[in-house]
Amino acid sequence: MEFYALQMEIATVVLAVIGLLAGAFWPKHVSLIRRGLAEGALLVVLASLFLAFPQHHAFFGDTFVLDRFAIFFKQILLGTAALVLLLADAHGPLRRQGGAEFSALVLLAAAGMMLLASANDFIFLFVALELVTITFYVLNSFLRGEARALEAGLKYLVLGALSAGFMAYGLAYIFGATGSLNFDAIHHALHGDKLPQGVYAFGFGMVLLGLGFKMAMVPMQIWAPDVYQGAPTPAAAFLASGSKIAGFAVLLRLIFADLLPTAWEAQPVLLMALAAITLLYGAVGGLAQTDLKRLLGYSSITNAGFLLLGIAAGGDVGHAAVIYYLVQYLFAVLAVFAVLTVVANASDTADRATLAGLHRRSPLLALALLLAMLSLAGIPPLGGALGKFFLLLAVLLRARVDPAFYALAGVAVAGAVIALCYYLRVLRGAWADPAPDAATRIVVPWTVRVVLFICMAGMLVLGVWPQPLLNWALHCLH
Amino acid sequence: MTAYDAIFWFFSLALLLCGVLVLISPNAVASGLYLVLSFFFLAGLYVLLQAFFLAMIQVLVYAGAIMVLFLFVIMLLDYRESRHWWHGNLLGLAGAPLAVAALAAALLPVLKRSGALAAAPEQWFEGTLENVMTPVFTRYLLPVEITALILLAATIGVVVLGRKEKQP
Repeated sequence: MEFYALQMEIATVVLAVIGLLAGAFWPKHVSLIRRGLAEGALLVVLASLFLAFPQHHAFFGDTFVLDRFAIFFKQILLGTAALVLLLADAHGPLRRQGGAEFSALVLLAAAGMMLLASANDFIFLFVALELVTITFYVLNSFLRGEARALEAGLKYLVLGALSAGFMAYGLAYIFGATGSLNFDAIHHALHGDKLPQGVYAFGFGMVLLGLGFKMAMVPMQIWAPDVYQGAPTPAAAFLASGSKIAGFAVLLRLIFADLLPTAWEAQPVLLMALAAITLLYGAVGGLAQTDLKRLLGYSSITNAGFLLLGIAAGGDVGHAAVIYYLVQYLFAVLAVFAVLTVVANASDTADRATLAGLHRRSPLLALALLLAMLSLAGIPPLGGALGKFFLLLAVLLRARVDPAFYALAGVAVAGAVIALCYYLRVLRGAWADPAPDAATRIVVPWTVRVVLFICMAGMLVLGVWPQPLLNWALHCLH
Repeated sequence: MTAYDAIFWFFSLALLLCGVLVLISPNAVASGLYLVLSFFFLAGLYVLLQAFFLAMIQVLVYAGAIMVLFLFVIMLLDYRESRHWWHGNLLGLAGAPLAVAALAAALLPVLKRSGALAAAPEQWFEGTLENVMTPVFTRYLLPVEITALILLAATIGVVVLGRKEKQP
């Protein structure tokens, strides 16, 4: 039975539908339903650790593969969705709006991301990607009473449609060059001699642009600060974590299927340039920001640049470093958004003044923010430091054969130092600025506590004990 | 002139006429209706090319769904401003030759190779329902199922974003 391979996705969709129906029948118990959905998602992740998956098999006419890589990312993505659901339950404006639709949509988006991790065919990839994008159109403008949320939704809609157009255009070129949209068939065609390499490379570049929208990669990064600022905080958290992870998982999948145009593999000038520009754009753009959510938008762009370093460097080290970086980034960014969800509950904006004196108002939040910001900035002994270290290591290893990578490593270090400035500035706001007189203690709901503890544990454990994850990442690659 | 040629010329000329009428009719709703009509004539051309499935989809999707949506939007906006089509539209007059040139540049290589296409085996041109639907229900079964999820997400979105504000 082939549908056996889809067990995690089916469980997620069933959860979403149950939540939707339960929310309609028992509108008084919506909060309970939302928490139930989060727990259900966590249960599915836990169960998946013990379930037997039919491994290394292609299903549904080779459109769907289920290998260790796919299963690992499915678990990560569904776990992220569960944490985002916990955040959504603590988010004031979403609670006031009521209804279980937000949670159901988060789960549907998670199902799309999990499908993306298994894509082995461009049509499948496109459809799964659209499931994620269309769901996010709604999530971003969910608080439709606020002008800022509508602006975020509209910007995401227009640019999302544009990126989908790029992708479809690129797929047409790929199909024209190779005569197929299946990864295996394209791989075979690439090693034939009759392939028009230029046409294929153009098509692949367009697909990369389409994925770049998900990853917040230059030149498709322009939406990130506005949407992060305007969208409801949990939706922005899911954009920053899940959507980015799914984008990079797809890119890694394309590379593992050996679909990179041959010229790019020998001379990855384009990938190197994209990595360098993305990194610097996010680092420099973030310097002038006062709103913390906008800052996170730029931080997200910088991190996409760092991840592209590993993609450009390639090799087992580069790809394992990307996987490691994605996981540690997930913990750091979710921790920041969890803090913001509670702190900026009333106004849903977050400039520096909202954070002033946070260490007195809520030590737990201040501690989580400290760890997350240090991890994002790359200070040991947190996960972010090792993530950046592994990526640089991959770049330097590649530089031994290709000296141009030394320049890329220089750019990466410069970007990291610039980004360090703005991360530390946020911390100064939270730890050094005096609290305003009217400020009261912040009560942290237990749902957010759970998220914070998981994230802090993740950052610390990954920072001092990276071997299991690295081994698992290398294990995934083979 | 055979009957086939006669039908071809009828559909082609009617298509062109409708296209021109879309441009010059002063009423936006009339423009939209002419566009629907032109889709029908285009579908007729597809039938002549034995692309029956494409013809059917042309009518169902374009004329049936997309254009009806267009007309709804036009009527909803209640756009009554009528003016002559060339009025003050210099940019459009300049852009039209450019668009035609770009289209010609894209089509010319294809037309040059039309001889090779004529020599191609017959089954290339079979646009029957069976050929289109077999992959949909075998190879691409899963993507088709996923589109159902997309529709579900879109429906939830419409309900959430479109429902009336609750009175506090």
